Amino acid sequence: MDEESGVEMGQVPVRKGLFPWPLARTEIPPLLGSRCRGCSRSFFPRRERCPFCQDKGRMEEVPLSREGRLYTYAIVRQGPAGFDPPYTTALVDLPEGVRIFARMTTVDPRDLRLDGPVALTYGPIGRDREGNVIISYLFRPLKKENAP
Amino acid sequence: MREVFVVGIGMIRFGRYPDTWIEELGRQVILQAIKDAGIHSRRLPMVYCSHSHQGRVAGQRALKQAGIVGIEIVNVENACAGGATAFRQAYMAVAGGWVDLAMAVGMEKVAAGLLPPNQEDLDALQGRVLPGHYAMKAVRHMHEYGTTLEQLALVSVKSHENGARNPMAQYRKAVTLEEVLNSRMIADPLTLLQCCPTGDGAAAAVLCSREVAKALGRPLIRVAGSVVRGGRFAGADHNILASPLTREAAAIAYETASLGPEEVDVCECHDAFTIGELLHYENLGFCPAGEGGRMIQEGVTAITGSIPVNPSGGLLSKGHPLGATGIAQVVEIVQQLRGEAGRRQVLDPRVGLTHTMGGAIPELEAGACAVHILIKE
Repeated sequence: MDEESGVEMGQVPVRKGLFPWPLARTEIPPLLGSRCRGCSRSFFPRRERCPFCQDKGRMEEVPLSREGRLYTYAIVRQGPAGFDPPYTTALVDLPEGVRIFARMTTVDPRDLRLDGPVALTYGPIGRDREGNVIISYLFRPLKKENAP
Repeated sequence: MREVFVVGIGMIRFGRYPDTWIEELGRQVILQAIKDAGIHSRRLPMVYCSHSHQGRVAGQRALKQAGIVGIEIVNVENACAGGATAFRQAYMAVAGGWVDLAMAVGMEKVAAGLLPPNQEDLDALQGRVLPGHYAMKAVRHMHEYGTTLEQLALVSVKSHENGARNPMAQYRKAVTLEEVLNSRMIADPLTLLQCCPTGDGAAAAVLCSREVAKALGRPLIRVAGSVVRGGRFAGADHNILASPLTREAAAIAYETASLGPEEVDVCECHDAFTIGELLHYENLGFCPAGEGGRMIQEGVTAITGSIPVNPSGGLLSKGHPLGATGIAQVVEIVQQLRGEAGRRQVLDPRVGLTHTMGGAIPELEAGACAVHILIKE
């Protein structure tokens, strides 16, 4: 899926401003977050105002790590219009302290290990009302650490 | 602040009313609550009406059908916690001395067709659905504490058993553990019978000052704790099982009521999905973290247990018409404290607690959490 993730006709990002668009074909660009210079907390999506410091004007844009840990997931068997169940939604924790809601690339629970490493990728998650393919960030499980 | 009492309640059976207007559902419970309180509708100066999908000034439309016009009417929206929020607004109006009487109404009819997701809601745009939202909690709870599929399913078995005894419940049929486990998978590990239904319904409560309550001669059910809180940002250090939101709201409610979780005799909590109820046992302080599964297995929260939870059948069986739910919880607790709960009566309760969560919002734990404590004097 990674090598196919360049923009084609009829593809739209799930929302503008979350990641570089159009996507490059050859690399996985990072998600774009914000970091508060006051309290060092990071956020995704980007935001102008830190909800902890509530001190406007001290946020800086930061690229977020491409690898994180799978905090938890759900395999959704019945989804809303435009989506194609089953699909897996997950909460992924990044080293910056950001927790991201995203789809996983697999619906096989044998590949989904809580607290295990996952890596960012991009791919289709559904179709909008005009029939465009919606492209979003996804996470894929990495092989078990210390595997023999 | 003045003491506040619940002196009147009204509710219709939750379910489907395709041929009945929302105004009529509201009218019925408004008049029931007024009658139950023993007041004349002309005495009512203020009403808070909760609903999520009923359009503009729905409260005024329902009250008009009941013949009540020209007073202060405020419409309230706080998703699943809307009813509890309207109840709190009415509580504050009386406690603050603005009025001696106030009503909280909650009413809802299922929206026709799927509502498009809010464009701000990035999670919904990526396929977050509420069963999945709760399934993620269940998966983590099973991982951390070894909670089993059977323990989750037992919540639904208990709720349906209780709902079968409640004439106001949408589902009035007991189900077996096997039926729950074998029903259609919605979001692993939550099966259909572990997800609350959608439906229509309405409920109302009349609140008043001590002087008015005494004069009315109704049983004295005092609102001893009342809290509504919004969710905070939930980063990677947030424990989705420990719900800081519920814990914070409950701690304030216990403190204002001058009691602790061990003194709660009956509880109605937000069991939209089975895992929710197990988490609320833990976060309302009925058991230590991780022991929710053990509690349901040991029957502690059954009607005959030491801390009965959702004797009404809860959201799972009684139903969950969003804006009406929080007030229906109050109706159940008042009936329990009055000893009017019939075949689902808990043995001689004095302290009751209601708890609702409302709304899923990206990055936040939840939209709102409401906790109320009611005490029979």
